Amino acid sequence: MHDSFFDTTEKLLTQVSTPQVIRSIERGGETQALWSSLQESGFADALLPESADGAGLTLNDIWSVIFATGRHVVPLPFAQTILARAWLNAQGQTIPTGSITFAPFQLQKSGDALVGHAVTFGRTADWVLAQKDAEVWLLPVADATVVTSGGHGSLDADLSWTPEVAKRSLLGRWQSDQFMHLLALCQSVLIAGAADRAFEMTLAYANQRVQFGKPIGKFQALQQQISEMAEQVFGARMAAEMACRSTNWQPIPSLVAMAKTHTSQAVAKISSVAHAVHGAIGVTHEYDLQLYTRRLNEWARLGGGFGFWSAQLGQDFLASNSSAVDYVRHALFSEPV
Amino acid sequence: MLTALDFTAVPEEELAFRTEIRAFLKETLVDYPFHQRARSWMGSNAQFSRKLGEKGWLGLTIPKEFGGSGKSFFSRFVLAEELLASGAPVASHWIADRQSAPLILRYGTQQQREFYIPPICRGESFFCIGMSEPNSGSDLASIRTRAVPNEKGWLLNGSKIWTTNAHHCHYMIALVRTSGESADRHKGLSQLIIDLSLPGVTRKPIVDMAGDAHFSEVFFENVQLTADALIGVEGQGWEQVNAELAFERSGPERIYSSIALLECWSQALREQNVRDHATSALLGGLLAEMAVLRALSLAVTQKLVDGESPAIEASVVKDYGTDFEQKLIREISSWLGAHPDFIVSGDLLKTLGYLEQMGVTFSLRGGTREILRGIIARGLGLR
Repeated sequence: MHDSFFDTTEKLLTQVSTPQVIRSIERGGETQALWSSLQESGFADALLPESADGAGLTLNDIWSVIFATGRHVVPLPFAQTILARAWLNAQGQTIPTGSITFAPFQLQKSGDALVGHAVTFGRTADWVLAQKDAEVWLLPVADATVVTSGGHGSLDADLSWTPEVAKRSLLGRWQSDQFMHLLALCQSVLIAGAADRAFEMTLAYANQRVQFGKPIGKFQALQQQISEMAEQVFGARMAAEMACRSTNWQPIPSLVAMAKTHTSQAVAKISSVAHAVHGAIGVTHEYDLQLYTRRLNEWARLGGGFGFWSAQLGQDFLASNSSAVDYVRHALFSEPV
Repeated sequence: MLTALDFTAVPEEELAFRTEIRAFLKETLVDYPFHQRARSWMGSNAQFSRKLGEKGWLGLTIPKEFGGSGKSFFSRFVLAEELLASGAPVASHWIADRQSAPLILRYGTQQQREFYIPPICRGESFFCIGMSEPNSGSDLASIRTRAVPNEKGWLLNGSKIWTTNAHHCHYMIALVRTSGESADRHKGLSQLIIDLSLPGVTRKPIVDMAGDAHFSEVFFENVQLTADALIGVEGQGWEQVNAELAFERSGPERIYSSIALLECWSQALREQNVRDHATSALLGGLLAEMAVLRALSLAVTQKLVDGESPAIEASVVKDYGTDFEQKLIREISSWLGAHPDFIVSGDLLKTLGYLEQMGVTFSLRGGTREILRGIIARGLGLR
């Protein structure tokens, strides 16, 4: 885990994606300073080949960069941008300046006008890569009508584009779905990161908060819950690391399905134990825990949650005629059968 | 401090070994029903174990000089996975191979190693582990079985209970008190190798709720042991037991105990062409969790390869894994209840019935859920 990319990203994000910055951006504050810092890190082009002035790294190489992004609940679509730039480059498209998010779901087209519902990071992204059936657009958020769509502090938004903007933003036609897996990959690794951070906070609080004359972490009832949380946090991290196992920039679809399934289901336990241990302070605006758990709850369903991705995995398995063990070995560990 | 585990792939060179094991199992376990497969490491078959010994597949990680194969822990993972996934009846040799031989290798004298390990590797010598007593379950340090040193060695009195497979074994490695009093807790406990054919040893199989007798009660009445029955250091039994548990708790047997049910049910789903969303989602969720657990178990295997003693990490895998094994039984049972018109074979129902009955033991055997979570909490710095 402690590779140099992680250390570099962790160090940078500790400085630039602070709870203060996150709160400010959630209130609608400016995003430019944070985005500039992220861009200077160079990771935005990590997956681009060297011939395109990228770092020529694989998804596997940079998984911990995305994990760290989740740990600091970066309020911009940084992870998505890394993947989006790799996709645009692979398709021979021009890569725009600024951050890019994905909208593979909930896109409505009436005439040529477009509405993207509950677009993740819709409030803070510069661009949206969207797909409806075979049509793919690269849409500027600056030219959209933006209406916040989520609960308090959410960065998601309903975005509407006029026919004129939509028409000039059309990139072309792709027969298969392009962004579903890329978004789910990002969200699953981000979940694992935010869960890791919520766990650190929970552990620290359990050791520090004193009731009945001793730290509450000394009570067995809490130890049992925190141990279970640890299992879920380690499991989510493992799923995320596996989702990034790839020898190029592209994730393997079955691994994404596994990871989004698993990380999404892990959220309920992780979030509930974090809050159970923290008590009332955990739900205050002033305390940082909610910055992580609010996102975890959203991300669990965003881009397809447990039921969506687990069904994909289950159908793939049923169609395979392999035993369960062989399916797991082959589809999720890339072992020859 | 317990920290997250990193992904480790099964080394590619293990593939040929897997293919070889699979061919052997296909030939050996012809027409072996799922409800028998569900018993797996609770199913004894001395003949099957000897066949594995002939293949050189027992004591896989043991050096060749003691009759082992000197292979890596990853080879052992692959072998264990194949045996468990096929539900092979491995109970006879399972504990000797998994725990006893590595323990004797690590703590035994040269003479003990030469005496005990080669027959284990041949599948001729079976071991059980004597831990629990009638009044000592999770509170293992309160055990009362005592071995008093005398001129011939040790005089043993007391009893052990819930000892897996004791009535089919040749030896027991027991944790007993050799010095001090019960109040001394972990101090003064030692591990002794007990020849179960000695005078004064009585074994009483206990019939379980599934109708099997997979565990026993064992009584010791003035059993005279020789001095070399002691394994390791007198008074260090507790530390030795804990090192041993890293082998016991991390393996794929903590993921695959209910695998026969999953395989049997999914085969039936395919046969009856069930492909609906809810069923697929249930299956996918189980497969995702199984994959993550397999990866966690492999990560612990990597730590064994690196020479560490990952006892706490192994507790994570066991607690998480047994939770999955039990969830699988609950979910499939509940699915069948929701689909009363689904044609269910007798084999599937017997498999489910067995696992429903014995599945409750998955989070008891080898350390209860609550004890494991306590160990994890200690690893996290909470205790």
